[in-house]
Amino acid sequence: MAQDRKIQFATQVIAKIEAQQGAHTPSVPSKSHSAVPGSLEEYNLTKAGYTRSVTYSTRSAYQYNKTHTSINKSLGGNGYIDINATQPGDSWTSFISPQATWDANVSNWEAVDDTWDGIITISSAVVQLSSDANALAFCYIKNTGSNTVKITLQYGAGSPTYPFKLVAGSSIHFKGYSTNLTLNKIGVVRDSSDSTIEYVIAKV
Amino acid sequence: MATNDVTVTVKNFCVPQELESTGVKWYLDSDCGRKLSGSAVLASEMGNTVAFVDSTSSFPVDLEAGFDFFYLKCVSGSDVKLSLDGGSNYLISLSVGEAFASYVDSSAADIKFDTTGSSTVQYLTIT
Repeated sequence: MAQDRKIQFATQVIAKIEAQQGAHTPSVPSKSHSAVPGSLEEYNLTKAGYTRSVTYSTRSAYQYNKTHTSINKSLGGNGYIDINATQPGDSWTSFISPQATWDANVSNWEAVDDTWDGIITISSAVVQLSSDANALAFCYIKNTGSNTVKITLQYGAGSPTYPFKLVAGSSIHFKGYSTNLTLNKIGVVRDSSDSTIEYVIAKV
Repeated sequence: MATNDVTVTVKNFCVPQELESTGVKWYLDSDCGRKLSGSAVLASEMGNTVAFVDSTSSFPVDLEAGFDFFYLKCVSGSDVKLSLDGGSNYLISLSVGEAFASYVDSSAADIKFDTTGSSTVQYLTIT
């Protein structure tokens, strides 16, 4: 059993808007340079001068992304949460530690929520991340597959809603409020095609 | 992508940690073993209407539904609680300095948030 556990977390959001730079030609200075201006007693330095001509070609129009003008900064925040040192079984994360030993794991090895690589397949059947009914302290889910998945905070309800979506590669994390959200209410299902996730779900 | 399209890069990180047995030092949690993160650039998933409120202390804020992306930060004060069903159930909590961001289902996420005392928040929606 762990002595204590905590989770640090952070979020970063950068909103950009596409802008267009029209075709343009920078001003074209045609410059003449003397190597050294003026003259000395015995000879005229300007004879060593040369003419350097600089030309710029016309640049065609192009598009680029700039920080959204109504925001003008990156957004985000961070924090940490103390979680219970004793989490409900091995399935509080989708991972199996490389240091794990057979007899240190209390879950059944044939259970679907134990995987060696931390990857859970998400298909048309909603996957409940934990059956534990304790209040949720923290949940992190990442879509490690190639297709969008949806998340419900009402697993087991008659008609659960799926307010959150995760596109491929993205992740989400949140803390539970008071005791209103329990571990067993978190479920994940595919949007249209199968995908995979990894997760951490911790009780208070 | 048409001119003036909006894109959002969203990243979420977390680092589960475990205190070793003598109670001196924190390590990566041995049940997980690594830092976790995910990121994505949302573009075609969203519309182009951006509404950004840099600071407000007026609560509750009832945004209702219809958004493709939602970001909320508790800037100062008491914890902020977030509901996805119009305020019937507050399920998510944010303490000072913490932020929440997600691609949301425009029809399923009925967003409302409130303070548990007195707070200042910053939020962004994209429709």
